[in-house]
Amino acid sequence: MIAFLTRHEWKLLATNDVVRIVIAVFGAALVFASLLGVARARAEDTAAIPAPRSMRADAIANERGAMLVMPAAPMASLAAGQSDVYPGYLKVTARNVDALVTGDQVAHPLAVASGHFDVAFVILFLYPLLVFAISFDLTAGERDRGTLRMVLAQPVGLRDVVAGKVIARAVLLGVPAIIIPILAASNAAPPRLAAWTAAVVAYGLIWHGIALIVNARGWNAATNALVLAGIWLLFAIVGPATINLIIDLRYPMPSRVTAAVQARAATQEATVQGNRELGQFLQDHPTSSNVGREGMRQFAMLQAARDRQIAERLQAVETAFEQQLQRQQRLASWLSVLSPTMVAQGVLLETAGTGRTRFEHFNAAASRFQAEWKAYFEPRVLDAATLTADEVRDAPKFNYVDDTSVTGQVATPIAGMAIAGAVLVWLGFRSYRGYQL
Amino acid sequence: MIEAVQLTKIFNGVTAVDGLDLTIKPGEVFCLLGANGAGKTTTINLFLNFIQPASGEARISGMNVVHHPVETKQRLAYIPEQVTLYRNLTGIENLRFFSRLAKADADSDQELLAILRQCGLTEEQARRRVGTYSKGMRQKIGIAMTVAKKAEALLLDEPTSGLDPKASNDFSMLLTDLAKRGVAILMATHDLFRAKETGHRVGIMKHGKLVDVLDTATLGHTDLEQIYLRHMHD
Repeated sequence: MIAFLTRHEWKLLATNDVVRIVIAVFGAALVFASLLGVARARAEDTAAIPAPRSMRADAIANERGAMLVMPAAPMASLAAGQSDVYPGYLKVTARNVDALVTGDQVAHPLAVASGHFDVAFVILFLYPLLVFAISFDLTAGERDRGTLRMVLAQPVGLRDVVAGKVIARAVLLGVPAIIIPILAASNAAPPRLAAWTAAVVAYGLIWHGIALIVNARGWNAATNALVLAGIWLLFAIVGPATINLIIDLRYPMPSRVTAAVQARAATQEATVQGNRELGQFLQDHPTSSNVGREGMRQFAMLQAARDRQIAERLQAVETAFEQQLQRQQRLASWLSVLSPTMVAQGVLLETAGTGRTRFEHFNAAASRFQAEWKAYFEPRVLDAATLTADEVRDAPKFNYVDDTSVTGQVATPIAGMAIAGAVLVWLGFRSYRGYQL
Repeated sequence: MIEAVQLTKIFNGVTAVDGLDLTIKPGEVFCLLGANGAGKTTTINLFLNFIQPASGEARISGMNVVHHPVETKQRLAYIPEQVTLYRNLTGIENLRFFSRLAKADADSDQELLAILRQCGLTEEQARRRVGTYSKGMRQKIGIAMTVAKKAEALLLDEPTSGLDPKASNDFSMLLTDLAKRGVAILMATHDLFRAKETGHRVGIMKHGKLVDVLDTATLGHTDLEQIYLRHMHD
């Protein structure tokens, strides 16, 4: 009977102009976001590596260094995520790892301010809004017009009727929400696609459950619409903003500019001192021709000592920054359960490979590689050596292997959303028990 | 058969239906008269199992509607004051939907069109969207539903209110035809003339009680009106 009622509801929805508009808007938004995403993912997948200008160890190890390029995220076409915050290119030298932020990577100011229009955005914000747009009048209109009485005078239960309505609507919006992203990220590994799809289904279930509970209250359609709009605003917009505010108040973070100024202040003394010593050396040896190999070694030692001093002081500032960031992230992971949008956002970005975890994984791999690079080149730099072609060829190579444990990490929040959605749907059907005709 | 046995419904301390005893046999049309708030619609809602009685029983074809909601709804049909159908579906699509809900045998276009024709709708009308229908046409779909599901009992709540005299007369004829097929009919109405013309018996309800039951064969139109008004003034 539920299958029959679902088909009937489907037919009614198909003849409803508002529903047609909703589906057209949703489909167009998903397709547009997918096309933008595919274009963005292609642009991210390029990086130029300059040719060495000299075979001196210092030139190879530090001036040129190694360009580490994080491969495009497995599902970058679906979510820009943190890719405009974390660098996707890093320059490794024998001294340190530098974020190589280039003009290609930094989006223009308007894009940064408005955020990316991607599939994740459509799913996280537009999808629930449209679920509400076609669900605010599940039964109120039919009850007020009297059609529901006609239907329930037949041998069919109210909950079967409601189930048919909910299933038809869930399919109507759920199918494009699932199919279009799968097509846009068809190259991604099946476990990632499965995790993304499961997250979308569970997220949709939550919003359908909320709509069901509100409809079961027995208000008229206009009141339902108003209440549902308020709930969307609360969970999708105000809630996350409030959570971010709480986090910022509890664990305030310096702005990036302040952090840069702090870093500069911390390293200034070491930089000035090191530069003074290097300057003194250059004053004492005005031309490189009379320095000799030993002199160049001394110069390299002075440079290394200066860089070590700077790195140590910078480390202290960076550690404090990172610790505060971690505190923020811990609090965020707890508070985000208050907003399904925040939970889903975390899951979708991590699954797409544009969340924090993949960037941290890449940074960790870069740090390990830097240690290898340093171990290989530092003795040669300090020895002021000129490298042979074989030595350059045998230098460590960076080979990034993606973190494959992501699907396991997102399983818990996906299960949490699915359970929450199932409970809300169950509560909704239960609330229909006392529905007044 | 439609039966009420000491049927009682109380809303927030107010007795809406008070110990109603009633038996409507197959083929009989029983018209329930009464002022607004007398308990007519509540009685129908009790038979439809939309609300639960405080005590007593409502039975359709011998079965308690509370204990056998599916079985009793399979055997009864309901026509409210406004037969509100799905406006974007055609007459035949609406009839098919309700027939399938009722698990009725009639399902093909031919069968459904034949039923609609019996109820006074042409094929052209049957294939039009219900949004374009007059009230009289929608009431005819209601009758068609009763025919399609082969209902044993029919409950009507003010079905002729707002109908023009011709449409009202057509509707009465359809009801009489249904009664001849053995359907037990309970019609709540304010229309004394139609009650006298269509009903075999007329019951007058006041404050939830059935205060009088009259045989229409022994009554003139003025008699019914006088008796009704006397009860209302008591």
